[in-house]
Amino acid sequence: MRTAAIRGDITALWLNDLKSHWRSGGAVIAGMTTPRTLLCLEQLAHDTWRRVLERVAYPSAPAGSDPQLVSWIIGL
Amino acid sequence: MRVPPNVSPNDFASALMEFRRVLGDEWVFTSDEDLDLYRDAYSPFMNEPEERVASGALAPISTEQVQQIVRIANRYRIPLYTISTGKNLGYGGSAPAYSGSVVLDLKRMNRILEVNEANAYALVEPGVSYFDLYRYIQERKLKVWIDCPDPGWGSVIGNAIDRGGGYTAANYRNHFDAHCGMEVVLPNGELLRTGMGAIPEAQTWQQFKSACGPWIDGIFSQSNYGIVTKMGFWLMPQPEAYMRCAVSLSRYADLSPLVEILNYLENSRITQGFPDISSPLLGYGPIGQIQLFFERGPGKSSPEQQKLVSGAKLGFSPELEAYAVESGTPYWEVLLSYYGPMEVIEAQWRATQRHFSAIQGTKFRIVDRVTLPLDPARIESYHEPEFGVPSLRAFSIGARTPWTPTPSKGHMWFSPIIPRTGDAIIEANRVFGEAARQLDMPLFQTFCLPACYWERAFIFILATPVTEDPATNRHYREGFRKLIEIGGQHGWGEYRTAPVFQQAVTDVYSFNNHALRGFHETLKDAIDPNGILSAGRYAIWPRYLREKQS
Repeated sequence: MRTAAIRGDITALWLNDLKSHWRSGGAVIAGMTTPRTLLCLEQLAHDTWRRVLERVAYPSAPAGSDPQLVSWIIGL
Repeated sequence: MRVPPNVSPNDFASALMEFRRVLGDEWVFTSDEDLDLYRDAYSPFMNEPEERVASGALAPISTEQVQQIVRIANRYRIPLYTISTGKNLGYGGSAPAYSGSVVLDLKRMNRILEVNEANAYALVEPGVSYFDLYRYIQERKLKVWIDCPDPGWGSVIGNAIDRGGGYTAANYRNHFDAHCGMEVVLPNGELLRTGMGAIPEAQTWQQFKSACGPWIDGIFSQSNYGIVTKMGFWLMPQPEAYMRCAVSLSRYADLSPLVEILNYLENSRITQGFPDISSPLLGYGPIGQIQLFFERGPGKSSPEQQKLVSGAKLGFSPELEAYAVESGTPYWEVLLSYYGPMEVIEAQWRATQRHFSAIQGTKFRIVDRVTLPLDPARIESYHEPEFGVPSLRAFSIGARTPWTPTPSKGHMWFSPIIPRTGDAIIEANRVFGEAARQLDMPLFQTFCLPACYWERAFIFILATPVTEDPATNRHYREGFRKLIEIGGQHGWGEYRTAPVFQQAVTDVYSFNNHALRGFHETLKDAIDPNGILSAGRYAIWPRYLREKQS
């Protein structure tokens, strides 16, 4: 199992890894990110006809602390 | 199963069967879970009955398949809505303008047919994204640049025919203007090539735009007269060097001469890059650093400055100006970018300084000066699109940060075109500032400066939030429509808008009793008599829907 860390911007992950992984028929991925990052991944996943299979949003953290997170699974 | 409006379930079932025969079962989508992927993620009608949704989706892989789909759609009067990749969030995404249409999704048509380094052009299909074209060029070490929007995940063709803009040199930033030659499937299924492409053995399709006779390319942008299946683009030869320089001005009244001089320098091609006007004093940052603004806020300023800014009217008070002069905080700053041989751009910078020196007290500094290509490890320290590098960093707009603890769900861009003068900037702030207060819309922090995507005119961009609360969204939608109307009363109109506002925006273009709309409708009726293509796109409705509406 491979893992990747991101910090807001998913450009590098998308260009260097996910794009070819998905285009070559790669399997499901799962993660925990901000909702905004998931929105990006969801839109990009649609390029290869993948979708979010499951998402769980966690309660909002207080303002000024770490951002709200959501865990998810993306696959065919 | 969802069924398009004005189509019987039997006819739709028959059409789907024929679509499947052409495309194969797996490329015809009718389930709710598939069609949900075509919802507009930033829809201001999210989860309301008026949200525009698809009844089906089709994903052809070739021009021939597109032609066959169009012929079937004509037989059964199926409304189609074409998208390239559907990523223009803030301007409608993948959702159809006419709810219930069948989305014709061209993202599988993703071939890069040619990139010519020697004469700097490309020919692509609609499913090719900026990332795809960039990667193709990088892998082959070709010495050409693309010009991409920000974010750069969308279709090269889709963005151009939606008339999007970018960030490199002026003659590439207007993506529609930078195109050269189209292939179009007409609503009757016939195939057309524009420009020199109309010659069967064309040698110069991507090299000469207008050919001979009427130049019709424009009617296939922001419209519904055909399906663009190939399009050529002029690329920027990789420049030898890049220089970014700042011109800082200390007085409020300097804004008008700043714009006048900038116009002269740009229109003379003395500066070619994206001019980025900001106000360090008012806390309005450059567009190239907009993600930093949303992440970190307007930057640190003293309590005195904050108090003076909040008490200023239209960004001005004598006390604030005195503070600017005494503290050395620029009232206005414009970042200018230069591309070319170092000796040329240094000379251009010297000429720039000579012109701006006419304004008393102007300060100059070189922000950066590099030879190209950039070391890939350094690119992240820049605004990537200014180097023709696509990025997704723009998605920090609206992200939840300490500065933005309750981000919006999305946004709708309100983006009227205003004249390129300092007076127009102040007038737009007065007009839309008053409107925003009266309409109770959170559009302004302090003062808004326009964007210089294109020469000759400004775009005055205001982001209107989309939330998860229908009542709030309704309030903002009504406010948005009012802003459009107010803009029109001042002679300003949007350059582009989401489908839900296309009727309101084009209502403003009403010269001589809507002669322009009348002409669009005459074309629509002649070219697409059954009204199957992208009904309602930019408020061009086919006759049968115009009659229903009236």
